[in-house]
Amino acid sequence: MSTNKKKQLFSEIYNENSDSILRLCYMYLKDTQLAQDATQETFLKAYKKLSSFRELSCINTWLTSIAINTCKNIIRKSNYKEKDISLEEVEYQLSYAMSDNDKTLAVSDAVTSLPQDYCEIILLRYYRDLPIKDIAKLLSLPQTTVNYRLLKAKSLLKDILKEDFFDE
Amino acid sequence: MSRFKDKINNELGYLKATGTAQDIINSTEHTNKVITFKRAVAMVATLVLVFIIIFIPSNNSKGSFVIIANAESVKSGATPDTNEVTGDILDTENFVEISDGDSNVLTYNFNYVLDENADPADIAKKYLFHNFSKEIDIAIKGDDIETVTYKINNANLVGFIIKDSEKNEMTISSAGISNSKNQTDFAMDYDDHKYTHFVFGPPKEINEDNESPNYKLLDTGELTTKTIVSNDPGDVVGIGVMDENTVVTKDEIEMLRKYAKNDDMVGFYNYQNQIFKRIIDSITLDITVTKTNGKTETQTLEFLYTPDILTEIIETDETNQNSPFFDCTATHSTGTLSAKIKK
Repeated sequence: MSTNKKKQLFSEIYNENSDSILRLCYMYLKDTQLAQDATQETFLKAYKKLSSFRELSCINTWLTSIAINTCKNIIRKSNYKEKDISLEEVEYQLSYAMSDNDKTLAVSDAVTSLPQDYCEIILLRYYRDLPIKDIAKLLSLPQTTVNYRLLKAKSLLKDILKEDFFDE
Repeated sequence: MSRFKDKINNELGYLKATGTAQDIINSTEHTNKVITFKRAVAMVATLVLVFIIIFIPSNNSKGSFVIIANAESVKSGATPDTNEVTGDILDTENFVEISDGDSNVLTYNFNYVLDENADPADIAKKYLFHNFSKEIDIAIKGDDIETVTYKINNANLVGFIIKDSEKNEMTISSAGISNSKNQTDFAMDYDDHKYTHFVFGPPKEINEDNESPNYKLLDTGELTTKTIVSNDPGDVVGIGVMDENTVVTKDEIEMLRKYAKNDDMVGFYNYQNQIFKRIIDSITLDITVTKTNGKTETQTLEFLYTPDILTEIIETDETNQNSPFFDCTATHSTGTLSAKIKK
């Protein structure tokens, strides 16, 4: 790939995806500054790898996998450790927050409140529109496990938000 | 856009990426993180001709047509006797390095975990490759040729591109790869063919049960036909299909597993490279031209893969990933691919 073509292709990819990748990283890391760092690092890596990327039809999946792994690295390096909480506890906390009738819970808040595995699955499937098989490869999980986690995550979100935002 | 995505984008609409694409590009041009390794003496010895311009056919050429590798441009009507062909004309005596101009790296994908007890952070390094692909550029020149047929042996055709440098067009053509088909050949009209760039991978074992005792399988993708207009005739666009199978012996898997469990990644990549060499050195490519008078003529290419010897791994951010899916675009197993005409 010539340098000019690479730069042109990269600019298109960046312009189409930078904001949504940032929001994905934000929901993953729950921190604006870390999300900005992760986004920049994601696109740095993507630009470096662009010449050797061979499946141009899978840019979305490829970019998303870089972003997710960058976020995971940041989490590891910053010694950030998510509390090991049960689904019931999440549900309780969110329900408590919703008990005030004047409050409406943002969908993004509800998603980021989920345990990491469920948050990740929802974001990959419904925010980045990855097919199940790509999610399975990215997370090194069987497709049945991906389907199961999606079902659980959607069900939990529906209970919390009292509304189904998913079209499938 | 789905309701869910709509809601998220509305709620987080205040979040905008700082910087521009140009900022990222400028930033990478100042970055100098590389993985370096020493090259084997054998690899240096194998390199005979690299990017030289040849104006006359080699005395060791065979047949009535010439096979040109690394061709920068092949003009309509040009013959090897003129200086309108630039590239490396292959012969029966010397292995000539073939590259796609961009990298000598095999791209490969992972599936099977060799060390299930490994730290998830290291998992990416300890997967058995299930596919690799290599791109090569080949052009044919001769008189009175009607069609050209390529047939690959001991390998699987992943895809091909016909490049017309005069029109600055590349057509990515489907080779009809599917789960149930082991595609090994394709043909095209000589008039349509100016410069062919294609990708091959290891041989494919068709397995009805979709299971293997040595490795797990992935879904394969399918190629689609499309036309890309490029302003740069030197452009090469690679296409690939994540293949199902690869031919690796149980003993080879056990050796890779040992390296993985001992965390000896230098040994792992060097041994993996030897597996690539074993497979690639057995691959041949039959090129058959059909003349306008109906007669056919075949020349066969044979390949030589010379691995680079890795002596150390320098960790960079790019290698410190835990996803095999990301790592599928990079490899520490690199080397040089060469070809010559089989006598």
